[in-house]
Amino acid sequence: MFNLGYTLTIVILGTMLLGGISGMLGTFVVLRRQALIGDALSHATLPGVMIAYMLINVRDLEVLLIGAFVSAFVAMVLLDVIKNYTRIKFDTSMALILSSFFGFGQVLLSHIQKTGAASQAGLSRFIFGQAATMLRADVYMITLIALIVFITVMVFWKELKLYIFDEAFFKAMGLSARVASGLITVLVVIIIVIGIRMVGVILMSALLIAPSVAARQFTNRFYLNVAFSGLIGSLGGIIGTYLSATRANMPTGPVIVIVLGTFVIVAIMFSPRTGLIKRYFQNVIYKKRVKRFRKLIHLYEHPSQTYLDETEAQYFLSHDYVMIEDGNVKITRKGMARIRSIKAVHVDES
Amino acid sequence: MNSAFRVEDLTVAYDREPVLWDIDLDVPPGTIMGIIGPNGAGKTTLIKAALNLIKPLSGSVSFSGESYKKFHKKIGYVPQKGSVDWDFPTTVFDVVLMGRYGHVGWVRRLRAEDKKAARDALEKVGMSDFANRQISELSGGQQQRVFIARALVQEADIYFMDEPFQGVDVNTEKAIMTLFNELKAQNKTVIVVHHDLNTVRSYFDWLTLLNIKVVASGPVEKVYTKENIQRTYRSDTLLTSERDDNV
Repeated sequence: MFNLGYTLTIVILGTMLLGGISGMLGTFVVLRRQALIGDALSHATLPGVMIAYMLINVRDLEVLLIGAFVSAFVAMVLLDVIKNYTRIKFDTSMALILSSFFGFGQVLLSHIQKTGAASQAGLSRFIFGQAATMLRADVYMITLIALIVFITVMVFWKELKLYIFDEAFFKAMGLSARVASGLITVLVVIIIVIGIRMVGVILMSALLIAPSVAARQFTNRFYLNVAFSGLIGSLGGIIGTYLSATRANMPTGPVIVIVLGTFVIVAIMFSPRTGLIKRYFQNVIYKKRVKRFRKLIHLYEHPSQTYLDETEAQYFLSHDYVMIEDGNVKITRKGMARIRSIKAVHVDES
Repeated sequence: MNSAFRVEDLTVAYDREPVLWDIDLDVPPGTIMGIIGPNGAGKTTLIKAALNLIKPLSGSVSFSGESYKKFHKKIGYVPQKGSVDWDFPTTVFDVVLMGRYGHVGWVRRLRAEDKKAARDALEKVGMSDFANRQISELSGGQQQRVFIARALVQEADIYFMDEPFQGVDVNTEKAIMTLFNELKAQNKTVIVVHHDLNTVRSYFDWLTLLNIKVVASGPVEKVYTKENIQRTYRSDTLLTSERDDNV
């Protein structure tokens, strides 16, 4: 592998897998219009990590990650309670949970740093993540979890798709929305928990959201959206890790996020379907054509009220867009086709 | 007891605000029933309560004498067109196939017969040429046809249609009515939330006038009277006035 060296190969494998699986799963979250939930839940893992450390007092990764999971789960339950029993809007409660859990985590962290032993070093890595310390065993764990998530998504593919597209119809068929929604959330939390150590609680949601947004610009099919999103996520992981490793003092997580952000911008600009560049040129061409052919269009829509001066008539005649019949100017088939093609550009664009 | 759809003592409230009050309905099979009433009358809520989408405070719903749990595979549903995101990345054919998911069940894959049912339904609603079209490219009428095709593949005995004529052109409306009449001819029951008072008489043979309470429900020729319409659409809600009367 490009002679990257053992450590870098391990790290790249890890971020590639994480990027791929979060990209895939992220598509479900984004299309469900709940992109912010990933952000809230990942911030909410921080106090769990700290409490787990305080209780056990060793920096055993598995213990810390269980703490993260429990903490995100508590946040989820709180979100649900707020939604069902108060009139607070959902986005408000998410912002509330996100910032208060994160704040609480920070307080615990600084408490540990002041009082704790040497073993506390590294806890702060959960905030921005640190991929460089990844070991072979970590890659095994990520592979296993990515596989579990991937298989679950494949098995419940049609149910999850219908649930996201049309929840009322899904429920009316007697299928359980609680199961579907719970499944998505549990998978998201699992991915967040394995991801926070690499990219940190603050940036984790970018891994879920950015690949899917970029992928959406290139496809109109659900399965392709999921597949492309996985590919883009993996690519972001690989490129980001490589860039951060080959330059001094570049943190892996943020670099991956920058790479993914760049993908999104490029996709929005250059997508052959909805790209801004394409739309800009379509618009310019459309305006130009309307200007050149406006008399022809007018003739087409109001045949009796249109007057063509000589140069205009000459031009349209020479292109067979109009013909003279009984001394009147009439539009030809070719002229009509021309108008339709002009209008088609306009329709395309809207 | 020969009723396709029966509602008894149904009361639904959101946040203590009653949306449906003590509803009783009895709809015979092989009918097309319209539900009319002003905004906020609880038309959609009634359908959602029937489909077990919301929990009522009290009351019960039955289909040919059976509970929702037993009967739900024989219920077809067309939700309001605006309830989904039409920008969702999927095709017309795919949306229609979704109507089969209930038959197929969790986890299992779709079979060839499901795909055939979807193709046939698209043919019936005149959308065969659009099977591979992205759903965001459809007009309002086409969206509605797709939703109806999706309900058709459910192969139900009773259909609930929430405003199927919303944002639909005249031709589509006619085509949809033809389909409803075909369903009726197969002794199926079609329940339609409706807005256009002009077409009530020609479209439906059974009618429920609703304004939180049921103002009247029965054969169109009996219940579609000027007086009932006025009682349904008058500005103060029936509930407050009549409850006061009762006190």
